[in-house]
Amino acid sequence: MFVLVSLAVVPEVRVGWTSEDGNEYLVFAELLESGQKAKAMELGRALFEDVVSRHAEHKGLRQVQDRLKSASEMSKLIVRYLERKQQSTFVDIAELGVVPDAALVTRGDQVEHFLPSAEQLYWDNVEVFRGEPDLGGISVRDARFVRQYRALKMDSQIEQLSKVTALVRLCGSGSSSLWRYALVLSLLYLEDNDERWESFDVLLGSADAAGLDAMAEFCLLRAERPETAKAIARYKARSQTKNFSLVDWSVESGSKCVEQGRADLAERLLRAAIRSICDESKIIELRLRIAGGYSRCHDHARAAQVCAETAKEYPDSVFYGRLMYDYFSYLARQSQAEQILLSIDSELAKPRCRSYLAELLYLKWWSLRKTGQSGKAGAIGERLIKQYGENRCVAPVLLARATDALSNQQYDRCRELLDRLVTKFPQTKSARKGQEISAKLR
Amino acid sequence: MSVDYRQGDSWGLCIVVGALALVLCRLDAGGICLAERSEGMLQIMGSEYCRRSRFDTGEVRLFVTNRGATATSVSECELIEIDADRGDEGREGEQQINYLYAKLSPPVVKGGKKGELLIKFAAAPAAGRRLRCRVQDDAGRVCRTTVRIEQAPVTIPFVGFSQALDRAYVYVQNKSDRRLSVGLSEVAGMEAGHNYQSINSDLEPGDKGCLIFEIPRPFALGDYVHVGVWARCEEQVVRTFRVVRVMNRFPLMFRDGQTDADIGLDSERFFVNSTKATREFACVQTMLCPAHGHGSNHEAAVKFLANRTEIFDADERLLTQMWICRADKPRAWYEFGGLPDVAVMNPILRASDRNRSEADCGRRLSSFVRLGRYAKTATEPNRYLACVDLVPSESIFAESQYRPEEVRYLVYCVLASGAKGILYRGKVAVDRFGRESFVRLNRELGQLKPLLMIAEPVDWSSIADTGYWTRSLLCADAAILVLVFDGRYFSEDVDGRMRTPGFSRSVKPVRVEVRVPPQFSVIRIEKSYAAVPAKRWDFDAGRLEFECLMADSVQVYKVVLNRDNVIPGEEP
Repeated sequence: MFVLVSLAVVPEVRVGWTSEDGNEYLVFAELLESGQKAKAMELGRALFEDVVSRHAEHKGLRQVQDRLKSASEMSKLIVRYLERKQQSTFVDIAELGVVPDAALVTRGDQVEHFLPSAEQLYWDNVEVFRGEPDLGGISVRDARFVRQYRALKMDSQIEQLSKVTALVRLCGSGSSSLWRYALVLSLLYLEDNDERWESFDVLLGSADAAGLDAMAEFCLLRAERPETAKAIARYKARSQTKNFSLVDWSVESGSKCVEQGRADLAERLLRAAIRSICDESKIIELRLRIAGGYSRCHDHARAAQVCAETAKEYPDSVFYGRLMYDYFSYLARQSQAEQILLSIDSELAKPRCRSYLAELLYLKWWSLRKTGQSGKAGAIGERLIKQYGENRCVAPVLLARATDALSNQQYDRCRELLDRLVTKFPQTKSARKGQEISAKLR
Repeated sequence: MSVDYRQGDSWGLCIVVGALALVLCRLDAGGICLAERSEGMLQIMGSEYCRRSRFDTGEVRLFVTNRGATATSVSECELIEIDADRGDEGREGEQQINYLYAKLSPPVVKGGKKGELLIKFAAAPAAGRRLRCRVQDDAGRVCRTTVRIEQAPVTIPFVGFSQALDRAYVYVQNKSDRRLSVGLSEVAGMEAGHNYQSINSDLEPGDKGCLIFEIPRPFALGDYVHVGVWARCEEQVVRTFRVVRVMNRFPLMFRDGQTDADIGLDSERFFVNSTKATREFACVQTMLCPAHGHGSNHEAAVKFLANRTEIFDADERLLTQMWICRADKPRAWYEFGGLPDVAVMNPILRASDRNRSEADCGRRLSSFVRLGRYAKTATEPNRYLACVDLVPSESIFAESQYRPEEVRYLVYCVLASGAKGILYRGKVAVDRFGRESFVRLNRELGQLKPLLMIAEPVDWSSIADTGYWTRSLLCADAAILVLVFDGRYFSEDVDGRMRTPGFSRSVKPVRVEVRVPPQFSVIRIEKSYAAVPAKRWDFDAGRLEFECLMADSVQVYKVVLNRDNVIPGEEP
């Protein structure tokens, strides 16, 4: 009641105008609380200038000033661009006679001036916004006010950007990627692990599903902000009253990272998901995904390393055989035949590798051939054909035997092996090669 | 009778028998002789030898003037090595030197006009030898000169023109091992006198400068322009000339000439594939790679020159373009690079380390820039357009598609080497980021075009941080473009193919030093949309230092220059 009366007595608040207890900061706080943002902004500007003038050499305050200035410039740049985009839509509408009084931008004008990408804006300003300014050395009241004022300014600008973006989208003159511009300021303002992302309605609440996806993707792939990407994805799920699965999201996002050559980022996401689960099978599956991601990005060394570490951590797992098979496969892709031969025999002897015996024998066979030990390789090949004749691993063995027979001018034997290869394993690379050779033999 | 000119002679007098022409000439540096004996209208006013690189067989340029009233061309020329024992006169038919082609620019020299005959050797001649050049015009008149196989001390690597075609930017490079001062002597028959401005006209060995001439009557696109510069070392003066085509375009389009303004490419076609003149376009691509399907190299060159003459007859201003593919690169580039006005090459190729020059050893430089420089030097003073594949070649790259930053990196690599246009080949990325990034890159290039059009690579920027490297482009008196590259891109080798390792993106401050030419100061430094804050750069006594916050694969900084006081040009 007292607060309401004091507000009524002071319709316009300036520095020098005080509340009944002489505290402008209190008035400022009250204006914020009551949602009178415009008045709070006006008062806050004057108060802030006062604080800055009293602490002209304060480094932390200067940082705050720099940030507010950067944010303001960036905001103006983006808003101007978005408004022009909106105007260009009105040109079309006006020509249809719908909005005859709208301020027209003629077709000859360049509607789209050169605006840097949201990504560029982010990275160009990230250093300005890094870390929390140190406001030590000024009074507690001043420091509290500065934080409130900064929050007000940033929130206002973010809100304005969100509104304009939503309007432009509504007019249909921009894609969902415009939301990245609205996001940039927020990304600079809030840290990755800031709780406010979870309920950042001022931005996220204005965007549609496509806009949220665009923002999440931007955070993940262009701004190195996976936690924020996750927060936005979580917000989207909540807004659609769906469950958010960290593991599912991490798997999907990890794939996107790998497509962009960022297996390292995929690993970061998947390891965060791994920390949230206890199921051993699931953990190993995710680790295999990490390794697979590195392999798809041609970093087979790291892929092999991940498999080896996982196998060491989970020696009794039912997936052990799979881990060792992947491990040796990645070594093979690095042409590390000798390294394979150093350890594969001991793995072949382990009962846990029994379900992958054919595959491991194949890798041993390949390594023996690679290192010129064709005699030993022949024995392994023979065993593979006899014991695992239906397994795909046998395809390259058949091809190798066929080419060996060809070199020895054993044409009938060669044809027989190639026929068997093509019949049993028609979809393999070896079969395709076999068909080429068969054609030449005819 | 003619007087033999040797290096170190100060003045010589040449008496032309029959034509009653008396010419004063001066020979200082090796390989440049002035005014020898001639019969008839076409007169050789000078000559020089040049070998562009160790991959090049070398060439002779004859600077000619048509003293008559009617146009003339060259029908035949012959090179004979002079036997030192026999003196000046070699025996006819003996020790004839084979050449790949002889190209006259313009193809027909009008009465009273100047031209240039470029004769490309089939094999590199031994240094120090002398050759007798005999040139016959289409009326059967003969003129002769002697050339010594010694590298000319100064060259004109590029001549750019302003968009309005009212300014010529003549770049000069010191190819000797001594300091030279350079100046402009003439442009298109107009004596330069004092009426030009110079940038960095005192050249250390290897360095470049720029001479700016205001053209009283603007040129037209495609005009042939004769340009002359002088170079002085102590009391010795040397002159060199070039005939160049006027061009104020920087093509940004697909490889087949298709354009697409929606993705930031040019809206108008620049060239068309045809062996005939097509007046709708500025340029005609008359030949796709002379190394394929056109017979021997000599036959291909002859064919190209025949097409060129036909096109010239139809429209004197049409430019000619040739695609020179990568077979036998960079040798093929040097063999054919001098033929067209515009050459198209693809420098995004695997480069063997044995092709690295001594100067490049130890330098942080992408192999694509190195190859691009070969393309540039093979075509100087004409232009080369770089073909950039949008889909990685399997033989060179490990990945099957580029990241957006990688496309940007490759494009700026070729621009750093001096490419005067980009022809993209392949399909644009379909994913959202890739496509948007591509459009944005092209729009950025569109903004930079006025500078890129007149730019010449110089060695004026450096970085101490080993993770980054830099190249710079002098854009006459307007700016220096400084390109800063992140060395991690394409730094890994996977089974002999390149890839970029995955790494976390962050902002890294990198200190760049730039040499600013004398009599210039720095007004500001700009990135694509904003200025670099003043607190991040410092300029003093010709040296600029600035801090760039690296987050991208390549960042471009425009160092805007201001001339302290206008120093008029001087004559030697």
